Amino acid sequence: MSEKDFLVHLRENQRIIFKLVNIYARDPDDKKDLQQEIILQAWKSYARFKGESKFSTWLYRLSLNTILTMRRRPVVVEYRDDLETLSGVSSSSYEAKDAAELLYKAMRRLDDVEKAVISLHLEGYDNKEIADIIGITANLVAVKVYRAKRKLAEILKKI
Amino acid sequence: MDLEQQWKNMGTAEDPHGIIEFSLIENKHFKKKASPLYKIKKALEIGMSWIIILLLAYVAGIILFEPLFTKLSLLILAGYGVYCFIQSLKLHKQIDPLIIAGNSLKTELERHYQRITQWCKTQERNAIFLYPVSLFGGAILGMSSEGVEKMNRVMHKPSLWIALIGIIVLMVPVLYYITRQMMKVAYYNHLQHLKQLISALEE
Repeated sequence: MSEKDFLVHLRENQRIIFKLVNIYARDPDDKKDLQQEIILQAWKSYARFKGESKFSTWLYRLSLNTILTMRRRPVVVEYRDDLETLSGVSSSSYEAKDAAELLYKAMRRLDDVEKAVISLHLEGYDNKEIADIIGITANLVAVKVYRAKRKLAEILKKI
Repeated sequence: MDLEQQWKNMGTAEDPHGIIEFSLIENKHFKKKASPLYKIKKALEIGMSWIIILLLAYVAGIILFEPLFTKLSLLILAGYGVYCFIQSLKLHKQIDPLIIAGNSLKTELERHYQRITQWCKTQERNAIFLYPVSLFGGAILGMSSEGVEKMNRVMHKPSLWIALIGIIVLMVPVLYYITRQMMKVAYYNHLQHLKQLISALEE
């Protein structure tokens, strides 16, 4: 497959990278670094993509593997700052952009494994597919999804 | 709107969170690679280059120096150099710095953990042997430059051997400790992070 194909695929699926980078990093420089590392890895690994799975699934796996094996600096979430920012969001301005921002902020408060599991779940992957991507049993995925959803709901409720 | 739908709608062009810099790919302009495995691979390449330079120096020494004892000593040093080179080359071949999308997240975390640990262990092992071998080589070369007769005279002095052994006994643990500390500073946090993630996946 050519460079052109790769760029077409990447453009079509760039939202995967956006979303994952936004839940795993907060600092703009960290986001940029992660994004660049994922693109570099995808670019270099593209020759290995044989089309056995959908490109989106391949990119999801590659992005998660890249983020979690490369990241050296944990996300520091300053709860007070976040709550102050969030409390300023009025119900009238609760539009798609704000809703997205709220969900990103809430998801950043989950731990790294919960972030991976919940993002895959929200993306529409079933437990068996998540189990294959993560490398644990489907039963364990079900437990983790349940816990992560509950935790996310609690965080969103507080907001 | 439910969370699933909201999540699916995120990351669109209206999403304010960064835009992929396609120019990076189009211009092949990537920043320095951040992956620890890339860094280890680079370090191995630098190390192997130094070994080749040293091996060439040893070969030159074997040709230039007359005393048989010096030639034999340099041969031992060259042998150790070849051993280090082979070990480095093996590890270099084993390390695939690319992320393997076909591997599950857990397998990738374990692969990274193992390779980094392997690299640290190789460095620590080298630290144990490096000082005695270097000291031995340096002493032999130093004595050779003074001529065969003087070398034979000095070699028979017990004080020389006591001093050499004393330095080795003192320096090997020191060097080993320094290497361990350096590895800790460089990779400890990252290894702990990987270990925690693997455990968190299994819980």
